Amino acid sequence: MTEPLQPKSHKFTDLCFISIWSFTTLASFLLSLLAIEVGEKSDLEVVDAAIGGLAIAIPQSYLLRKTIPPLNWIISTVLGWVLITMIGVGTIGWFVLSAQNLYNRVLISMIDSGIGGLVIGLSQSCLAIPPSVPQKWSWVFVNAINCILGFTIGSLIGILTGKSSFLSEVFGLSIGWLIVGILTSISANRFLKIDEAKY
Amino acid sequence: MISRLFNLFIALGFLFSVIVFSVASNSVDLKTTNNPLLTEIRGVWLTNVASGVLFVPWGIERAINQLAELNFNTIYPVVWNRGYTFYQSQVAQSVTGDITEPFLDFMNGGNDVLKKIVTLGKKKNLTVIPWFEYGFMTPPNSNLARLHPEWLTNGRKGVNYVNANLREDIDSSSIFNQQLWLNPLHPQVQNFILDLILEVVKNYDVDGIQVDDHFGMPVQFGYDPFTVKLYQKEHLGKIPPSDPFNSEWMSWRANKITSLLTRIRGEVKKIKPQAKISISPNSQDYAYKYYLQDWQNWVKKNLVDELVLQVYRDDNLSFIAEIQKPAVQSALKKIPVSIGISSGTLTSPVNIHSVKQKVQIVRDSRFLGFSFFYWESLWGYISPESPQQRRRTFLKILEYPAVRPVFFRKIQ
Repeated sequence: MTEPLQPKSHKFTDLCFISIWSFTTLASFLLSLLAIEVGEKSDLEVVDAAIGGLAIAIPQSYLLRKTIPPLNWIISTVLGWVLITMIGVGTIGWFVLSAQNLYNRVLISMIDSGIGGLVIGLSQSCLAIPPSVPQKWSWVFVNAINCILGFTIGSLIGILTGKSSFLSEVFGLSIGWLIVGILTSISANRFLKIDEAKY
Repeated sequence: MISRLFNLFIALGFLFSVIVFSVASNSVDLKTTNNPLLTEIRGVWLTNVASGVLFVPWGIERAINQLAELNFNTIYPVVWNRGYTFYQSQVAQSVTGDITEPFLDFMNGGNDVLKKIVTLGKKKNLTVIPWFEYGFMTPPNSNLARLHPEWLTNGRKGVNYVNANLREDIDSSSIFNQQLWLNPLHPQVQNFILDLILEVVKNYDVDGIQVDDHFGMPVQFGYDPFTVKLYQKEHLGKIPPSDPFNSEWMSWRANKITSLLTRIRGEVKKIKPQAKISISPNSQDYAYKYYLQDWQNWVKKNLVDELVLQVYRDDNLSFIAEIQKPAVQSALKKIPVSIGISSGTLTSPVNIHSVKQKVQIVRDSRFLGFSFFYWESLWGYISPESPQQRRRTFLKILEYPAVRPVFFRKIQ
C-alpha cells in the first residue's frame, strides 16, 4: 500500500524560497558585472544604478509574480537605486568605500547602506507591495536593516581579505549580496506569506 | 488602483528622463586641436591565461574600445598557447585535430576571434601583431605531444620537460607547469611553426607577428636522437658534449634557431613585405644562456623589425640596469625598441604609481615606447586600485594620441 502524498512542510517551502532567492540575487549581481564596473562611489552613475537595479529586480520579480505585479517590483527597485545614486548616497552594492580604516569603513558603510535600504524599501513599499499586505510600511525598515547588515559585513570582508588587489573588494561585495539575499528572502517570506504555490 | 497606476507611470517617466539625460551628459569632447604629434609604441598583450578578455561577452569589444580611448596604439593578441591556436587554423587542425582552442570556440559561438580582433582593432587604428606566446613549448597532455612524440626534444638521461610557467599563470610551482619542448631544429617542427605563422600573415590583415622568450630551446635540451644525429653529421661523428653549457654546443644550437628565424622572416616578407617581425625576449644574457635565443645577433642580421624587451622588475634600479645593457642600447640604434612593463599579475599586483614611474624611466631613456603585460592587470580587478582610478592615471600617462614609429630599412 502506498502512503498518500503528504503536503510539503512549511519549513521546506521556506528553505526552498530562501535558497532560490539568495542564489538568484547573488547570480544577478555577478551577471551585472558584465555591464557595471565596480568602483568608488563617484565612479558609478545613474545608468549603472538603473542597470544594477534591473539586474537584481527582474529575477526577483519573477519569484514574486504571484504576489506582486512584476513591473511594479522592477520599477520600484530601479527607481530606488537611481534615487540613492542621484542624491549622493551612491549605488550601494556596486561601490567600494575608499576608507581603509576599519571603524570609518563600518560607520560610513552603515550610514550609506541604511539610507540606501530605506529609500529602496520606501520605493518598493509605495509602488509595489500591495495594500493588502499587513504592516507593509515595516518593509522600509526591514530592508534598511538587511542592507546595513549585508553590505557592511561585505565591506569588512573586502578590506580584511587583502589590500593588494581590488578583487578582494569585489569578493566582499559578493558576500554582501549573498547576505542581503538571505535576509531579504527571509523578510519577504514573512511579509508576503509566500508558499510554494506562489513562486 | 488608479492612484497606484498613476504613481507607477510617474516613476517610470522620472526614471526614463533621468537615465536619458545622464547618458547624454556623459559624452566627452575629444581633444582634437593643438595636440603635439608624438611617436611612441603603446602596446598591450592580450592573453587567454588568467584573463577573460577573449571569453566573456563583449570582452574583446570592451578591451579594444577602452585601449583606443586611452590612446594605446598596439595590441599583441595571443594566437598560440598550450598547443592550441586562437584563430581558425587549418594547419593546426591537420596536425592536432583541433581547428582552434575548444573553449574559446564555444564561448565565441564558433566565430574566429582573431578576425574579430583585427576588424575591431583596425577600426580604431590599432596596430595588431599576433603573438605566438607558447613558441616551441607544449603541454604534456596536448594532442601535439601525443601525436608527434618524435617532434619533442629532451635533456640528458631522459629528462623531457622543463618547469616553465607563463608569468600570468596563477600557480607557478606545480606539476601542471611541466612543459615539453618541440625541437626547433626538427624540419617538421620548423615547418609546422612556419605554416602557423604564414597562415596568420596570409589570412588576416595583421601588421606583423611576434615571438617571445619561448621561441628558443632550453639549454639543457638537444639530446634527442634527431638532434644528436644532426650534430654528429656536422661534426664528423662526434656526439654532443655532455655539458649543455659548452660554448660550441650552445652556439651550434642557437645558430640553428637563428637560421629558422631567417627562414620565417623571408617567407613572411614574401607574402606581406610590410609585416613586422617582432620579438619580445628577456635580456640577451639570460635569453642566450638559458634559451639559446641570440637576439642580439638577430638584430645585427636585420632579422627583426621591432624589439619589445621584457623587463618585469619591481625596483627601479634593476629596471634601469636592464634597459641600459649594451645589447639593448645597440639594438636601439638599429630598430624601434620598446620595453615590456609589468602592470601586474593575479599573484603579484603592481600599483599604478610604480607603472607610472617605469613609463617615465622608459621615456627618459629615449626608447620608442612600451608595452604592458598584460590586459587584465591594466585596469582589471586584479589590480590594487579601482579600474576607474587606474584608467584615469593611464589617461594622464597617455594624454595625447601617438603614432607608432615609421621605420624604413634599406632594401637588401
